[in-house]
Amino acid sequence: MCAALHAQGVSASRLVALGPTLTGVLRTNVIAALSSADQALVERYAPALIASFGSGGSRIEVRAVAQGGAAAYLSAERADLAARKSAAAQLLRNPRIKFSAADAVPLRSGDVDSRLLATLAALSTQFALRVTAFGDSSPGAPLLYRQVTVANDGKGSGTATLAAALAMVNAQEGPYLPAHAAIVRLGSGQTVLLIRFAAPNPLGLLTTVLTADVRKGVT
Amino acid sequence: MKLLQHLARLAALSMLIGSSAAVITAAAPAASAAPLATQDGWVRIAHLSPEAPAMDIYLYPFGDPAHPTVLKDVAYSDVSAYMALAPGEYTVAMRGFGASSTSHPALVSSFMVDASTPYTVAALGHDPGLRVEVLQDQTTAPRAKVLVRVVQASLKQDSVTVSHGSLVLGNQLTFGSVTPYTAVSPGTATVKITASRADSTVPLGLTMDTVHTFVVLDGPSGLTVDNLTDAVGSQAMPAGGAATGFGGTAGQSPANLAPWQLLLLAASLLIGAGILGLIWPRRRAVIPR
Repeated sequence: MCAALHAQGVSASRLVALGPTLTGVLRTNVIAALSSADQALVERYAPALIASFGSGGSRIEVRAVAQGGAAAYLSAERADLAARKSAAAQLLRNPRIKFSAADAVPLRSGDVDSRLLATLAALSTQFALRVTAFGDSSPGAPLLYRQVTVANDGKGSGTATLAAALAMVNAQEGPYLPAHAAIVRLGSGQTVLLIRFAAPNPLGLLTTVLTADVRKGVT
Repeated sequence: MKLLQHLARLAALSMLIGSSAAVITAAAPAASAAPLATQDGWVRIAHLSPEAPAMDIYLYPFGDPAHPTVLKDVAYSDVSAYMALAPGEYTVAMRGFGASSTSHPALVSSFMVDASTPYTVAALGHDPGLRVEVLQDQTTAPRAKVLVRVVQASLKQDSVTVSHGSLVLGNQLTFGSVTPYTAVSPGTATVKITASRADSTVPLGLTMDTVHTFVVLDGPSGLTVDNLTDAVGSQAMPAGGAATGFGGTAGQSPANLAPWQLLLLAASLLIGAGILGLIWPRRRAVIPR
């Protein structure tokens, strides 16, 4: 697997070969393995499927590693889903950003990446926008929508508005800086701002409240 | 903008004395801080990064971005009064002090405000690379006790241990750590901060039935502690809690108030000023080294 990834351009310094003892798995962020690989690996360390390719015994799964263990991950994932649904319901009431009926469905279901939700909310503080589509679910995995295209919905030049929105998006840092953002022209001729975040969705971004952070050495 | 902060704090003070609360609240222009409602949450903002300049901090409701709650000119060691906010998801964004509200903000966090729950939004760490932590605060202490927690915000120490008397509040705290609240006995005790390259001690008096957050910071001559008062006594809202309002919709100011509102505000402030020195919690107890 590592050789194949290296051949595809992934730097060797970013690859860790996992042996039967799974030593080193917690030093990784993502694992790629055959679906027939050790299920203990999946159950203990990597319950979140990011993408999969192929079928049957040759199916390759890409999974996010849960540093805190699978149980903690699943608990955090449930909380994040509730937060995404709640945030999305509020975003749907936002008068400065419009969604089609079709796009409201994944929003309400909590199927939109929390970074996209936060970014759309932030953009709406400066611009009147219309979401034209969500997209980029990963292949072979019921993953969140991590991409959105938005069009100007306000007065004035749509191109200037989208350029300003792009500048705002590109000025962000940390989890709010997308993997890709650009102004593109759709097949219909419409000009839109495309924003895409990389997988996986960081959990807890919408519920960042600390009551006590015991992970940081507090006793 | 210092005037706005000052008025906000005074307005907060008047909230504590009861009957004028609704008046101040009604006078406040912030949509999200409109009439006091038990279902509101409470948020205060703390600038705890000595490296970061003064900034304007915006809290944008996901559903109503045209009506943010804004605190202008928040400088190092500033801690705002609690502001009443409608429950919901908020985006925390920052702009440089005095920057136009139409300029691009830096999106730094998002968090959910729950009903009747107090929070501290704290800016910590290096600049650039400022980090925002949202802490859930507590409003009541066990009977005849004091609740204390520690936030480790020192940039110069890898880890610190903080004790109150013989009780260790936090051991080997790394930057950004937040301890759970711990019940301690009221009265004066020595607060000790132990680090590899600097120690500090100070006698600190704590009144029973109060709740505090000790923030460990780098002072000009060693480690210091900000003693933030989270709550005084058993109350429905946190100490200093107020629908300050002047931190409300960007661009609004007391000048926007109607004359009768200004009169009511002035009356409230006069009442409040009489007990200013008695009940307004001193924000900072800086421990000299």
